[in-house]
Amino acid sequence: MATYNGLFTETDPSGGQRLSPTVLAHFGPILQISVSIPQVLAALYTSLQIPLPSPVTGTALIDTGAMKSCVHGPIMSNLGVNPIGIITSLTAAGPALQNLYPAHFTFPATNIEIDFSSVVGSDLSGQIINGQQLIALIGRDVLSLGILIYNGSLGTFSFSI
Amino acid sequence: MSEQIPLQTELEYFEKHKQEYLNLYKGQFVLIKGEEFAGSFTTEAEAYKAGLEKFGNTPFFIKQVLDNDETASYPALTAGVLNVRL
Repeated sequence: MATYNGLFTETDPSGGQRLSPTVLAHFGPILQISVSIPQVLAALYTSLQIPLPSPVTGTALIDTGAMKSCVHGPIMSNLGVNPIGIITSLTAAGPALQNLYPAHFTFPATNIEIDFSSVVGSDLSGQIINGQQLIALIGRDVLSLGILIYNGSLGTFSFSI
Repeated sequence: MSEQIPLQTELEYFEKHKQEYLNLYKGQFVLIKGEEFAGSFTTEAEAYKAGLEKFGNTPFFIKQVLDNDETASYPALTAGVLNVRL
């Protein structure tokens, strides 16, 4: 079983680092993610000797309120992945049709990899956490595969698959 | 802001034939390209693989045949609570 451990720290009065419930509460359970093309498409590209596009790495937020994981839509377009469906999403602007894309997630700090038959292509423009553009929300489709432990009083979380 | 929806033709074709699909393929995933039905599959992944084999890396439509279509909600996005700095 692979585990990602998220530790959130702050500077203590002596200049050292200590775990911080406050920082975790501010940022939420965030982690680095690498988004790439789905494995079946990668296999097709390889068989056709087409170079694989480079994965896109950025920040993801584990969102227990999200039924399906989502990725900033332009990332999937830039990777050359075509949409395979449409879903109605409830957004701040009301219900909106959004594309579904197959995708592959890798969490660089671990050896956790997940191949999705579909994620939602959402517009995450302006969704900034600690100055970093959010590129994905990790939803309950991923959480259904493992164990999430959120230790708010300590300032840590872990996710195991 | 939503993205451009490139599968409108396929969605309309699906809606037009939905009752027929409910009778024949309820719970399965149908594969549609343009106004062509290209098969039904047990899983979305199987449908995607078949679509790639048949149509290459082009847009095609995969939809699970259900009475009520799935809706995705993102409370954090809806409430606009994600912009966070310390």
